[in-house]
Parts: sequence; C-alpha cells; structure tokens
Amino acid sequence: MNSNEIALKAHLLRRAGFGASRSELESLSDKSYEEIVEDLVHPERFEEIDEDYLKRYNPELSYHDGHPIHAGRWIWRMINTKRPLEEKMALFWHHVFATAHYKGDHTPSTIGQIQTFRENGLTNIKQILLDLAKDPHMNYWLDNCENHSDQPNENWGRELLELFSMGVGNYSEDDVKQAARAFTGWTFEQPLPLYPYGHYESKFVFNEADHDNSEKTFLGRTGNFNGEDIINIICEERATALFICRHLYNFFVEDEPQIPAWSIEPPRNPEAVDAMIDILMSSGGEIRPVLTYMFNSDFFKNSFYKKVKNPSELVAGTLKLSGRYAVVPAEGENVGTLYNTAAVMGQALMNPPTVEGWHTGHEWIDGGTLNERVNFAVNQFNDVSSPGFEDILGRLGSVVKSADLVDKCLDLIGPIEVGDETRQALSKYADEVGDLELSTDEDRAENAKKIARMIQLIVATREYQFA
Amino acid sequence: MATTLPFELLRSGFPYYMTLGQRRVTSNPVDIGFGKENVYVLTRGGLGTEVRVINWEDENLGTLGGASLFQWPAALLVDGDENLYVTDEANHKIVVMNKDGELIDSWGEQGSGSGQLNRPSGMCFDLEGNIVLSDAMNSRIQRFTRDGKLLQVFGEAGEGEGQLNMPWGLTVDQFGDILVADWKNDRIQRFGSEGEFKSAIGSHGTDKGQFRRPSSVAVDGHGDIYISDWQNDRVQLFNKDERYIQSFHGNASLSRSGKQYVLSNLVTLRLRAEGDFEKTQRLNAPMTVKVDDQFRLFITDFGNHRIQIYQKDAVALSETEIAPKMRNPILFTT
Repeated sequence: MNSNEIALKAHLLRRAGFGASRSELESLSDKSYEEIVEDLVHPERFEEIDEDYLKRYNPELSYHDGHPIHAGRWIWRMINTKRPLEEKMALFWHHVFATAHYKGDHTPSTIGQIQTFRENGLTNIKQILLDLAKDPHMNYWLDNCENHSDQPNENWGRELLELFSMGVGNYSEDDVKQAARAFTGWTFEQPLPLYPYGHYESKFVFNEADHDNSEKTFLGRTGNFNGEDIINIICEERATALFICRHLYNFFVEDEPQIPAWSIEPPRNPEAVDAMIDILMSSGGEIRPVLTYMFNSDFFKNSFYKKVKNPSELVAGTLKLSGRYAVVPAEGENVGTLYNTAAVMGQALMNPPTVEGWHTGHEWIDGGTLNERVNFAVNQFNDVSSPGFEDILGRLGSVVKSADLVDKCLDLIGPIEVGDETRQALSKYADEVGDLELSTDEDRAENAKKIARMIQLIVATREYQFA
Repeated sequence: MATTLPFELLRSGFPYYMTLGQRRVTSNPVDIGFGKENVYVLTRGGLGTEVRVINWEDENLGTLGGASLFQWPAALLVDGDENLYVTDEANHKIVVMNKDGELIDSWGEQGSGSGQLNRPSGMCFDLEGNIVLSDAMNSRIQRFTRDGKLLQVFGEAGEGEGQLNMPWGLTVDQFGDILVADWKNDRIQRFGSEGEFKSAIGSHGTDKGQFRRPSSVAVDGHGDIYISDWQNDRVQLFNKDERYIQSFHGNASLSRSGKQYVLSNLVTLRLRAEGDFEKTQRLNAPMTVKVDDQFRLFITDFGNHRIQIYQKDAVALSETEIAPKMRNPILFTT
C-alpha cells in the first residue's frame, strides 16, 4: 500500500472503528477502500468476539450488580472486536439516545440497552426507535412506566420528538400530548430486588388495560394510534431524517455545533446532509446504505482531523496501539478500570450527564480533561515491553537515522499529520537523541526508551487529540 | 472414601438441600472449603476478594486474606490442621494461611520450566495429601508437596488426547486418577496417577453431555462425576462409567441470612412478591463443585453470590441385586 492509501484506510478505521495498529492496517492491504467499507457495514461477516478469557479473568462480568465493569468491558470490545462498526454504532446511538445508569441503578437494563444498540444499530430507524420505546432502561429513565391512561406522563413522548427524532420546532405541544397518550401502558416487568442474590433482568410489558386506545390526532394524522403508529409517522417526516443524518455527520465526519443550536444553525455541509437524508428516506429508513454512502463520499475522505476524539475513541484507540487490554487479560488487568479512565476525561459510559447526552467536539477538552487525555496516552508507552511498542520497535529496522525518526514514528502511530510547530518540537528531540542503533538486543535495550519517548511526544500532541 | 465402587445405584433422587450465603457476605464465590465447624468461601470480584468465613447456621463470621495476600484467587483447599491454601493466578503463587488468616507460607514463581507456574488455577489434594494443580497458561498439570516441592509434571498444550487448553478445576478420585476440567477444549479428561491419558468426557455445545467452558470437576464415593458447566449455567452428573445421568439447573431457596434480610426490608418483600420467582432458583455461572463423604453436592453459584447444596439419595447395589445389563432396549417395562 502506498502512504496515501494507508492514511485513508487509517482515517476510515479511526472513524468507523477505534483506530488500527499497523499490523491491522497491513492485513487489509489486499482489500480496496470500498471493500473495507462493505466489511464494516456488514459486521456479521466476522466472528463475534470471544469473551471467555475476559470472563475467566474478570469473573464479575458473569453477574450484573454494577455497571462500571460492564462499561469497561465495552471499551475492551472496542479494542478487540473484529466488528468495529458494530461497537461504534452502539456508541453512536448511546450518544443520541442518552440514558444514564444513575437513575435506575439497574445494571441488567443498562447493559441490555447497549446490547440492543449493538444488535440493531445498523438496521432501520423505525426498528431502532421501536426497540428504544420498549427498552426498560429508557422506559424508566423517561418515566413512561408512570404514563397511565387516566394520568398521562409526557416525558417520553416529549423527548422522543425533541431529542430522539424530529428536533425542536417540527411538532406542536399538542403532538407531544397525543404521543404520550399513544404510549400509555408501555411499561416493563418488575425486576426482582438486588438483595439477597443480585440483579435480575426485566423486559417490556404492554399493559393493555392501562392503554388509551381512543382517537388521537398526531402530526396531522388521525387514528386510534398506539406507540408503534407514532414511531411510523415520525419516521415518515423529513425532519426526522435530517435529525438522524445530522447526528451521523456530526459523529462520523465533522464536529457540528452542539445539538441545542441545531434549530438555529444550519449544518456545516448542507449538501452532504441532504444527500444522506435522500438515501435514508428513499430506503425506508435503512441506516446501512446511508453509512455506505457517507464513508465512500469525498466529504468523508476529506475530513481528516475535523473531529476531536471522544474519550472512548481516545482510550480504545491508544490501547490498540499499545497492545494492552487484549483478548487474554494480562495478570491483574481489570477492565472495570477502563470505565474510570474514560470517565475522568468526561465520558462516563452508560452514564451520560443528561438526556441531552454529551457535548462533543471541542467541548471534550478543558484544562482538566486535556491533562487526563495526554497523561493517559503518554503513560501507555512508559512500558517498552508492551506488545504494541515492541511491534513498533520491530518495524523500525536495525538503525533509525535521526532525520527519519519523526516521520517513521508518525507513520507507525497513525499515520498522523502534524503542523510545522509540532514537527519542529519533535525534530528537536530527534536531533538530541541522534541516530539510534537497533541491530542487537543491547542496542534495542539502550534505545527503546528513546524511541518510546518520541512516541510519547507524538501522543501528547494537539494533533493526536483529533480523529 | 471407599476404594471399591458399587456395581450400580438405585438413584432415588438428588433433592435440593439448602443454600448458604448472600450478596455482600459470600459475594462472587469461586470456591468453598470446610473446616471442623466453619465453612470457608473464597470470593473474587468487585464485591470483595477474600475468604469469607460462615458457619452452618449461615452466620457471617468475618473475612480472611484479601488483597494483601492474593489478587486473582482461583481455588481453595483446607487441610486437616485447617490451614487454607489459595492459588493466585495473577501472582503465580500458592498462598497458605492459618484459620486466623495469618500468612504461613507462599510458594511458586512465574515461568514455563518444570515447577514454575503460569496462572495456577484449580487445585486439589491427592491421596497422599500432596497438591495437584492446573498450571493454566502452561496447559499442564503439576503435583507438589504442600510446601511447594515439585513431584510431577504432565500435559502439554493442544486439542488431542492428553493435551490441554487452559485447564481450570481438577480432582483426584479414590483410585488416584486425576480428572481435569480442560476448559478451552470443552471436555473433562481423566489421567492415571502417572499422568497417562485414560478417557475424555464431553464436547463443545449445549446438549446433555456437552459443555461450554467447564470449570470444575468432583467425584463422590460412588464414582459419580460432577462437572460445573460454567457458561451453560448448570452442573452435569455422569456415572462412574462416564455416562450422562442428569443436570442441575438450580433450585435454590433463600438462605437463612437471606431470609432474615428480606424479612427486615418491606420494599424488598414487595419486589419479590411482584417478580418472576423462578429466576431466583437458577444457577448463574457455577464455578466449582465439591462433594463430601455424606454425598452432599456443593455448587458455588458464582453469579448469585451463594452456595447451593444438594443431598444425594441413592442405594448402592451389588451385581446380584440388579438384573444384568440388556443388549437391547425394551418397551415392555412393567
């Protein structure tokens, strides 16, 4: 592969997945960019990840009494999966349909929702919204279990329209009330208590006796609508397609303004979003063809470094490079710690701050989170015996000329492009260490730390914070 | 334990006997051992990594060990002096403490040479009181004296007869045979005392007689073999001839301490009254099985934070007390 081809594939895998090591990129050398996109949008072509080793050495994953270890398991899946877009879409829908653990504190439901996103994330928006409406975690989060025929609760109906499909300005207050009535009786089975033997799952229940089956008028249509009818009507609206496609563009292509501003600020690239809307609507709400179009588009291929990595991307992507948290856990390695790692950077997976989700883009970065991000990335290369670093070292040959050190390391860690100022700083360090011999074990032992230091300088750069 | 086995058994039944423990006492139990009066439950996970001490009245008597002694404990043995032996997969060691929790010995070093260890997991005593353990990442079995002197090594990585793939639990039967939960190969293998392959039970799957990552094996005085079928959430029983007999899916009731907890919490009482009760009985990731000389079966119900106990009801039969084996099945069974 030439360097442009490698760079483009690396870009694709940063966005549609969580990055790729050089060996992963090389394993794709016989596939065209378009073939890789097809593989990504068809995760079923690849084996499901083997979690047996993880469960053996992190056995608490066998029960569901606390969500951090399961959030950590999710990051571990991001690192190790052969189906990266499956996990990326689960993360995407988790961003859009933000549901936090802290309210229900019921881990089976929390992780069950993510599993649903994993399974339906590439399907049809109608199916995805219907599954969401039947999800116990969402149901409790937005109080639909309190939505009774004689005493409607509008919370779910309102957020379904405002935050999950159409967006503010595209429906009336009366539409909210009618939607709420249509979802009366949509509740969940009472789960058994945590004590004395741990959590048990719940599931959707339709309580017909508590459902308002009378006539409703919603978005200009009249009928004895139930919740599924409301979702079907919502999905016929172009506003919904715009909302979903803008989210996709924001998540995969280029940082958009924060969502509350969407009703007053147009998309950054209206032509691109319009094209995506047309595909979504003409396919009857299918997500897969939209993604296929988007990943193959020029606007996507030209969007290098237009997104700030979210914390999950930064953590999973860096660990892919260092080779830690692999399929077989190292001694003492507990995936639960990965939850905290991303949380201190501002993304507590399964626990978004509000129903509006996380503010993204440059809002991921402040003085505190930037320190956490940089320190984390740098610390992953303290250990020169890590599998990822050893792989990088092995690719540098028997000697690295000082003049080549920056480019070779930038290439192997990404490839990453850096600005002049960054390059000057990296080159200054390369000049200081001089030519580095790596031909013998003694040479390697002596110079590995110097190369690791160069890698640390690279992952500490401004450019590394972008995808 | 008897050194001759009954010719056959009248299997009257294997009813549920009782449950011990609850969440926050016997949280995430991985193994169990028995003292003269107390029960020792080895726990590992986010709710506590330690040895919990309880008694047969299910009273919480405190903890032993903990993070200062072991990080990834996998198996527990209790000797006649009530010293406790714990394998530590993270530190490649066997830790020995007395019943007061004081460290009295520790041995083992990481490596792949004879006598070295790479994630020691399952562990049992042999007929002489030596320790046989699964050296998981080296895919072999090693036998040591109780103070860590190497006596025997056998096994190698692979899928063939006698080869192993990350073995976990193991036991020595009354004849000295070593039965190993060959975890990643989804089978149990039986080795003679010299390490020679004798037989294998099971294959990958969810049908009767198949396994998904078996984690432990035990043999009772009748030669019956119990296997914790970890990812299938069940325990399977095979007879001395390695023929499938039955499965245990869980039939638990509240332990004594669990009942006290629930009775003192009005909301918990209400929630139990509203929920699907059947779920509360089932096994979740049973990690180890042990049997005692009273033919009681102990299952560490890992995912449910408890020990389920069953009591075998069987009559031993001699050859003259049962009709000869039949060559053909018959429909006329009255």
